[in-house]
Amino acid sequence: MQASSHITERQVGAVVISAIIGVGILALPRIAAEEANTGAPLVTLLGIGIAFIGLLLLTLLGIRFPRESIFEYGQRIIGRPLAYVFNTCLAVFFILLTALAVREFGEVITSAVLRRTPTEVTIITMMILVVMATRQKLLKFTYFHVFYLPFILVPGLAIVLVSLQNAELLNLQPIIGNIPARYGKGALTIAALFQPAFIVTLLIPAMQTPKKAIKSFLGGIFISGTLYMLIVCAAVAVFGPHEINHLMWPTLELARATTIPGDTLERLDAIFIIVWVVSVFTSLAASYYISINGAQKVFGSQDHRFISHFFLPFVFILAMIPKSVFSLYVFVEIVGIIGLALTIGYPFILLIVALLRKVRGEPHGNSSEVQETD
Amino acid sequence: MGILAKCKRQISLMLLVLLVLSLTGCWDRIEIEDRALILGIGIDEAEEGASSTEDLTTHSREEAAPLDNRMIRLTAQIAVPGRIPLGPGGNGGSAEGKEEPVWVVSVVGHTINDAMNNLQQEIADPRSLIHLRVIVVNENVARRGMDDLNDYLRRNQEVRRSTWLLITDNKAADLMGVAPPLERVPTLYLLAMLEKAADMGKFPKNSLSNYWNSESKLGQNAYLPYVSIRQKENILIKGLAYFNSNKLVGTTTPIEIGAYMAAKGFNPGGYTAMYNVPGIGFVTIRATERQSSIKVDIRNGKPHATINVRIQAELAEKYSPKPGMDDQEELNMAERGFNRFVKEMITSLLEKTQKDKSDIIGFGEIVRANNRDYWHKHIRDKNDWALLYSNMTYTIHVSSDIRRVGMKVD
Repeated sequence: MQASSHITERQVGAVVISAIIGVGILALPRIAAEEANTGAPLVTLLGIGIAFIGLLLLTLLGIRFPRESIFEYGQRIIGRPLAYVFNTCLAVFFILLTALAVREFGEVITSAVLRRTPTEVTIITMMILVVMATRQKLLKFTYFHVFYLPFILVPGLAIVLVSLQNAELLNLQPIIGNIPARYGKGALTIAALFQPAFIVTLLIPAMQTPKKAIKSFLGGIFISGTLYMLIVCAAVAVFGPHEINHLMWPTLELARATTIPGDTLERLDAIFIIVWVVSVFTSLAASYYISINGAQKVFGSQDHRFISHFFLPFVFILAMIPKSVFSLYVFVEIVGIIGLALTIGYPFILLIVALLRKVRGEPHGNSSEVQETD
Repeated sequence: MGILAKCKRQISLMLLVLLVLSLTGCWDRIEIEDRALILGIGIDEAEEGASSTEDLTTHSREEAAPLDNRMIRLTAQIAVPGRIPLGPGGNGGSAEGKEEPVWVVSVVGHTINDAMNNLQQEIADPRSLIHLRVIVVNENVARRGMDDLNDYLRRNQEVRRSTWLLITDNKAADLMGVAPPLERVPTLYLLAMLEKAADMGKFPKNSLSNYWNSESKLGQNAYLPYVSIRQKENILIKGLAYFNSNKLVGTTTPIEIGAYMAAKGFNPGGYTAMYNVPGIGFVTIRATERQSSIKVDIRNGKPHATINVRIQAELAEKYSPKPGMDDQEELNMAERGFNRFVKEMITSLLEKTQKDKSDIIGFGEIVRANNRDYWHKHIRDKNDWALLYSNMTYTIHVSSDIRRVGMKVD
């Protein structure tokens, strides 16, 4: 392996950011405001906190086992049979996550933009793109994310900042939310939106100095968390927490209601949708990549391209299960929260057991072929 | 192996071509000429017995019977593609002569979408609301409640939140046809009028979005522009139409819009006050800039509001009996008179809205934001605050500063 084919810590940070910013940002303000009204930013912060802990555990494990991903060191820590079960769960969970996200994407596109295009077509088109991206080796896959990141962040931030011209500060007070404000469920659902960042476990072994992963992870969480916070604050400040409960996708409405001063652009939703489609693509690719990697370990297969194609119909069928957006959001919430047990709980157990049993990975040496297979 | 690789290439090339096809968005293309662009909608109560004359496009007669007594008449103004004058060059080519740029269609229905479907049944092109700019609602319909209308508008992805919603005491259908000689498209005239009124400080910027946002808040009620037709082809901004729980409960006079904007500190100032200054006579003063701060505290378990308003103004006119006005002392008297006038106007606006239980200023939101426990103890739903508001006490302080007097001395 040549030195140049390592992934730098900045690239890892970029993947974390673009994996996290995905389909969920459209409903995000509603998820936050539904339970805690004006306390929505606080709920978001809690959610980011939970996601932070989960990713921290994963990064620490990655540093401890610098040449392996969770699918491999899991086997060494808790033994093959048990790790096999967990690996299967992880792969299945990320397939489900991909399916639900792509369905949500399809729903938004059909109800807001392309009214006459069947959801199936939107979903299949997006999934084929995702499969094309995930067929690539890890390094190229990373480049996808790095390339698209500015197209997500810059317009995203700009739209949020422009929308702040209609903000009312009273809508964010009291900060802790009017009674009754429940933080728990909202925070968990928001933390679940960060799950595609699980991809760091696959990236760390490909880094030159895995210890630096902690830096990219902190930066990634900070930037994506800031964008999440800004979106929630802007939407709640503009609409007020009660109006948000009437809006299926408050962030989209925010873009629709925002005009650039001077009547140059009367609604920003067209720009926003473009940005959002790109961000959905990158985060779908991330979660799909995790699942095919997991499945590869479960099947003991080397052919990652084959698995990437093989799963496509399953994702499609799973995506078509919810009958409407209403039941879709029920699924999203349940799967998200169960998933947290897996994406935070499993690394937690692994770390504890690894510390107790004093299992360590081999130091990051001359060559790591782990990620070179595909 | 080589053949396989070649095949793979061809397959991916084919896939690529297929994908490129899907990128064009042809699936959803709609030619602009093939749409009936609805620019404005007027909603009135349907006349007696409308249910027997309705075209049954969405239901059978028996099915909709429970809704028979609250049918609506929907009047839509549809743009005729190619005839809308765009920009200054558009009306220069008078070759088109007397051809109307818009087309007004009127239908009855039980609900908004029912009426829309009746409308669609009559016109060739698919209706489209993407250019809907103004919705006018007759006050009788608004008194019955706006919930159903709001549901349709929120659900429809074509409707913009920047659309204006108006209440009128005339037939809303009549407003769909009102255009002075200068403007050929009635709705666009209505729109320009409202937007210019907002720029001049005659009316707050208050689109559908603001209306929905206020209506959703527990501690605030919404208001809309109240308009009326004058001289058959002019439109008057007649006041604020204010709501409680999505039902129209009252309207104000135009000068009370000024009082409202002063109490909220909305700029620029646009209203002119005419009042009698004892010993000097009548003066008219134009407000140019308004500032306000509102505090609400709890006194003896009841909310008490303190409103501080500062207004910068200019002397626009001095009227008889005493002709001139040329020293600072007289100007100070005029300022004091102006303070009294503004205070009285705000008081009368508050008394009116308190009587109708509609807190359009949003005192409740201030209580909600700053007195979390008090709010929790007393407020469960929107009506709780409306009741508290109707018994709220307040103090109003107005200070003004007449800075300009014009170019005349006596």
